[in-house]
Amino acid sequence: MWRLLKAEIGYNTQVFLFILLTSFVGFLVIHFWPVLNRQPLINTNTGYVYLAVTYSYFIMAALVTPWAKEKRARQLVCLPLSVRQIKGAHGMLHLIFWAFIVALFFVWIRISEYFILDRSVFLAMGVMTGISGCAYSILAFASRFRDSVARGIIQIALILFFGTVAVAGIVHTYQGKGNSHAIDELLSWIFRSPVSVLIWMFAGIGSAVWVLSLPRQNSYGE
Amino acid sequence: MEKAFSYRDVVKTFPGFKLGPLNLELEPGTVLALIGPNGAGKTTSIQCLVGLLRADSGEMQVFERRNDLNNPAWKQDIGYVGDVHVFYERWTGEQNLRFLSQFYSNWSDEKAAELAKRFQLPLDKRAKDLSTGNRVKLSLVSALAHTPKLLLLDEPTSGIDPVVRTEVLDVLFEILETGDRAIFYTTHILPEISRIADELAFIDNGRIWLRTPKEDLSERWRKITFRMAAENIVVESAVSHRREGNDHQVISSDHEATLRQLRELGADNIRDMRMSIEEIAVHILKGGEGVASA
Repeated sequence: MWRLLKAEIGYNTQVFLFILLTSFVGFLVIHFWPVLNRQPLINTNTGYVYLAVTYSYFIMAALVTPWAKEKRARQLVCLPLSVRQIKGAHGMLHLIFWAFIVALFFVWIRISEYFILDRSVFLAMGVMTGISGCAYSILAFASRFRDSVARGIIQIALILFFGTVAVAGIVHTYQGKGNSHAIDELLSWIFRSPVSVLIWMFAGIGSAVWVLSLPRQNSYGE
Repeated sequence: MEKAFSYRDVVKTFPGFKLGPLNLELEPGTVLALIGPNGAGKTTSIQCLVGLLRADSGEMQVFERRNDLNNPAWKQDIGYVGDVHVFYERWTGEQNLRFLSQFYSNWSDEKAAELAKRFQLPLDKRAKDLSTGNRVKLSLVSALAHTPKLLLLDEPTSGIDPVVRTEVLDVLFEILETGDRAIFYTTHILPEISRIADELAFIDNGRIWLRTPKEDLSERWRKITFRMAAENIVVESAVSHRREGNDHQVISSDHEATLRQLRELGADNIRDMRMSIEEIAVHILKGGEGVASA
């Protein structure tokens, strides 16, 4: 697994550079763009920016990493590697991407004075990590469907769901207490309640482990 | 005796298609060509064996080891070339081969270099810049550089033009003729089989309905012409029978039986001619299962 992971990291150097560059551009835009109203970013929390970062990760994972585009599984399954090793390396690769993105996120927000890191931020980040785990699991599970229509519907639904949560979060961030008190309450509960954090973390990590450990996959040829 | 591979009651179903129950085995050192029309089940059979598809039921073994996807030692003995050639596209051919070399205990860099040279493969080019023909060549080098005891070739030359195909096959067959490895070759391009195959298996609708040594086919099948006045003669073992006046032409799947019958019936000018494997295979494919039992 480690040889495969090492090869994948080497092969995806460009992706790491892409993440570094785009996150830096994002940082510059938020930090220096005078049009932005910076006050809400300070007053609300950094978590919603983290959500945007999370969403960016999924776009990056889907569009930039060549694993699926190059039918990597098809090649690797024919090598003397177990499916567990292949899945493990793939999972670790995503974890490393994720860790890299989160590390950059912390670096940039520490440099900028327009963000705060308090308890509520960490709670929100926990929730979003859990949501990301669920989203990853659904994507991984959907990729097993031979029926490309079903696969496409699930993936589009996921993108819409995740996109909606992201947009809601960002709008909430900028508008503070917004137009709908009920939605504000809901978003506050989702992103700031320790119970919600536990639920999402459990669901995210649990579903990711479940999908990765599923013994049966009928086809690696797609 | 240890088999190169074996399928035992293997079944794989898709909507509108069922492979099997498939029972098939191959002796080491034997070349078996699996022949059938598109959609017959050739690729499904080979993909089940190599692990790209999971069979619904049944068991497959490679050199007496079950093709367990979580215990992959059995794959050390396999070289596989499919109809889709997957590489790390941004890497050169050389980088791709270096990557693969880590996973095979038997890998030889010298052999890989020698094969690349024989195929005239530019290893310094990135995979995504290689022509289709060169991608096939890179796949073949990847599959052969660890000297596998079993080579699985699933229509490896599909999609490439006839000139490159001939060039690739010339080198491939030259390499394979000198080795002592089992080869399972699927194709619907018949001229490919006559040079290399020891045995032929015919598959259609997911079922292998005839398996026979190539030499048996060459020996038994003949094109027979004769003159005879009788109109409604039923020729024994005839797969096809054409008549113009008193002149007859028969394709026989058992020329001895046919000739014996014709002599008994007093036919004149009996001549029997050998047929190429391609010709025979075409008749078998056109005639279906009825031909096998003719």
